[in-house]
Amino acid sequence: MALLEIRNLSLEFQTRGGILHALENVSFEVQRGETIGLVGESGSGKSVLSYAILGLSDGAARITQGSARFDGVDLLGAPERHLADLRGREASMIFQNPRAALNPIRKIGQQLEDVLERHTTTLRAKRKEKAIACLAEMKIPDPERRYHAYPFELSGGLCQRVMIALALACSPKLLIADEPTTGLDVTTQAAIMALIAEKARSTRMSTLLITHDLALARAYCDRIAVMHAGQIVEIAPTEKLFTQASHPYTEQLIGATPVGRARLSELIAVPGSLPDLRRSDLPSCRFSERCNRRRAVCKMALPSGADGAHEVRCHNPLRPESAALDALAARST
Amino acid sequence: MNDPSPIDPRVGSPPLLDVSNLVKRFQVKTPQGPGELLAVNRVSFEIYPGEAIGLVGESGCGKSTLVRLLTRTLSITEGQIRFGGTNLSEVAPAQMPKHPLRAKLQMVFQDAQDSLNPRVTAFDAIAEPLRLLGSDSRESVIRSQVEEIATLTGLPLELLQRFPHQLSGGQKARVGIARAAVLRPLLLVLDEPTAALDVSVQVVILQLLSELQRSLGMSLLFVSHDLNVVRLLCDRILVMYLGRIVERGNATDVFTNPRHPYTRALIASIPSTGHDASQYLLPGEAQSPIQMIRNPTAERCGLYGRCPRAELICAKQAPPLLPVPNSEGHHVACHFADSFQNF
Amino acid sequence: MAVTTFWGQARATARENPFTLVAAAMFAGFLLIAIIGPWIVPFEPLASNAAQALTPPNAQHWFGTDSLGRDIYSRVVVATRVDLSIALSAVAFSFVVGGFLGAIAGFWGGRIEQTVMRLCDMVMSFPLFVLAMGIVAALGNSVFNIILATAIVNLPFYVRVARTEVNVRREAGFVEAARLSGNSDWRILLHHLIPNALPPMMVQVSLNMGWAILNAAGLSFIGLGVSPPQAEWGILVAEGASYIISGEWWVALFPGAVLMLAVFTFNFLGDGLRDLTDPRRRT
Repeated sequence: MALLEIRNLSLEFQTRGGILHALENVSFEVQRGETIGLVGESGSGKSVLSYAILGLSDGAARITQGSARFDGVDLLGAPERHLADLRGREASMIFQNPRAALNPIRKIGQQLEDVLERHTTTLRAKRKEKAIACLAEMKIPDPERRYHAYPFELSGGLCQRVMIALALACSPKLLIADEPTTGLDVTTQAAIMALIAEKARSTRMSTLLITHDLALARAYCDRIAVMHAGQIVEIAPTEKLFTQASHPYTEQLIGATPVGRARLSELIAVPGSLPDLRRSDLPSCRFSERCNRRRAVCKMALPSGADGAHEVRCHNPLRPESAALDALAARST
Repeated sequence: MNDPSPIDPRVGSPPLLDVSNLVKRFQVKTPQGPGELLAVNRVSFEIYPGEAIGLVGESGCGKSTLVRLLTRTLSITEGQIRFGGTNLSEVAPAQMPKHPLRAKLQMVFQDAQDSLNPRVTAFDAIAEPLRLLGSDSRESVIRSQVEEIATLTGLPLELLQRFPHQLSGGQKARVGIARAAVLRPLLLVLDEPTAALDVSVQVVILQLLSELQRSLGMSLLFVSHDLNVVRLLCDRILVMYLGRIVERGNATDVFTNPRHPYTRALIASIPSTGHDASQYLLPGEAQSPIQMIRNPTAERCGLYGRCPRAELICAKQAPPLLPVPNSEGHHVACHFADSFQNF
Repeated sequence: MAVTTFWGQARATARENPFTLVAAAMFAGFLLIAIIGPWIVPFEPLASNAAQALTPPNAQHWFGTDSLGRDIYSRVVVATRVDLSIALSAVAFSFVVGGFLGAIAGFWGGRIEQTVMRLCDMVMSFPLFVLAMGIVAALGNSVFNIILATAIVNLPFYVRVARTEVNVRREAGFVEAARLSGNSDWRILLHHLIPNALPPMMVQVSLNMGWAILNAAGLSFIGLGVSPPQAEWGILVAEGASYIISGEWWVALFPGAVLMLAVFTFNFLGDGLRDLTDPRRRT
């Protein structure tokens, strides 16, 4: 059984300008111990999805269909106090702006102990020791001194490590990392991703890495799900995605990424722009209006399938054989 | 600019921008007493006409300060900047807006949204440099110049009447570029111009910049975090660390054969390029650029304390930029540069 | 994203917040009365008629009459012009002078800022009304002096708002970009910073109008500033105050009610004005 199972999830926001259809029929799973990347540009819905999983959506959000199960437990119908127990202990989240996630007027050691107190049975006398151990695990230099520090005394990179320490203090089964290294230097990014990968390896933690950086996802994820305008368009094992991309958007996104190119002219731009998600006449495939492979059949409703290792939600995919073969293989095992 | 055998721009023409021994110090107060923030520590380099130079380094290395010294919005503590033969270091920031060379040295900012006055239309934002610094103040001439640069930067003319909040991220970026380019500057400084943009928009803007550079004959100084972008767009790269230039050379050379330990860590950290970052990563964090007045540490290698090699000479003497053998135009500031293995 | 005109924007603002529409209509009404008031009143505001003294509201005298037999309705209507012009002038003066001082303090900082802020401190160290009283008492009873007193007492408020707004925006990207476009410091202040500092101050302007009316009324109530028999809401309330106990409630109530209505109008208008002047709110 998968650790996290999302099936046909659709979510909308009530806004002044109308109803915003943020997520449409999203399905995917995260197995124990795997790192799955959720890749998409701004407006793709990846952050909305991550908040919805943990029940942290904005008050104006409404889930119109679908289910989300964590370790077999239904997340969407659970009462708030169950979710509160879950967050921090079983499933944690880290965010893009570490300073916004830390309480500026509380010492770091205190904030760590708060998490330990809430979610673990660590005795009060032992909490300080454990807190310092958490800081040391994140390779924060001089952890005993940093225990007494306030967030403003630390650099951005160190704050990010503290936030990760907070998230991993209780060794959760799932870590949702929402753009954890955007804005950080590339050397800091490498160090932080190494920390997360090490923890995942040693405790069999699953990671959901949300990012717009395809190269980052490629380096750290076992599987990647590509999102566009609230829909998941393709899910595949990492190398397969890059060598045998099937969805036109995936191919164009890879084509726009500068890694591994020799010339600027090799980069291709994705034409068009995101559709306005407040429209009531959104096409069933939200990429179709920008797609150069559009055909009449694309007006039909997309399949929502969640079986097989490589799935594509497209009526005219680039490599239909690849996806179909996997679905066949999956069904016969 | 990515031809296999580029014509060396250095042959024949004098540099467009000649920076020598530039220093910038800020006076600061720390709990331990008065100190100086040594943001730029004797930086020297040249930019030739038509070149694209990349400036990379982690946050806090001084690249933003350096850029503002070059555009003359910040005063210089020591050193010289010669632009097109004129000594700009003598011009105070307050006098710069009226200087005849102001139009020829322009900048595109990181956050296009922040760099546009929310109450000014795109048209007026682009027209402002023309109205203040241009030679012809007739509205009809200004209008045609604005429309021309808008077309060159791929900005549809009907968008010119809009305010910044009515434009998308990519359109705002184009307005920022159009505004900087409208007076046909000789040198365009770009401070992370695509950092806030989606990757698909980034492609378009980068290709636009490359095209503009070619058609308008500008030199570019491209400051960026994103080394992949720098590698594609720039001919030469300058690597900064703690206020100093620690390595410089042709883009391909620096990427395939970095000689400075910091550069090596930087390039190895780029995801999905096949390097194992853990081999090259430096422990700890960059030391503070704040020198205590009583205990200056300005005269030692900035990487001392983080570098795997830590010899006596590294603590006593800041290494000078010396040529790398067998690598044309490649310089590195490290006492032991040749001791590191190839990448 | 269609670009709208000023009126389109005004309509959208009114649709969003109906109070603004009501307030705007009432403001227009007050303005109209201020302008044409003296010509539409049924009675001469200064005409006394002892025989009709202290009659309660009736068909002929809608608001009743006062102790000298004057029609209160006419007096209230005529007083609108006096009160509105005092308030508008005082606030305009405060806004322009205070805004300018605050802007230069916020932009250049240093000694200029210190000087301006210490002057504000001096003004603020007095209870505002007491200071206004002092100024009018020293300079003499006249409408102009009420305006001056109200304006001076109100200056620090605008100085501080302007200083903060300019200070915060001083480091914004568009300021640096303006320097690179050839703007001198003064031009940046006048063309770029002050227009952006405007929206937050607009709300204050309208709120201030309400306060300025109250201030002027208060001064007149205690006998400073506008002197009888000139009609002004504060004086009218003062004249009626002593009659409340004896049961002639209308003499004070109607002027007081209109005064209150005017202050409400300006308060509600404040939000609407801010929305109108901020281009970011335009969709």
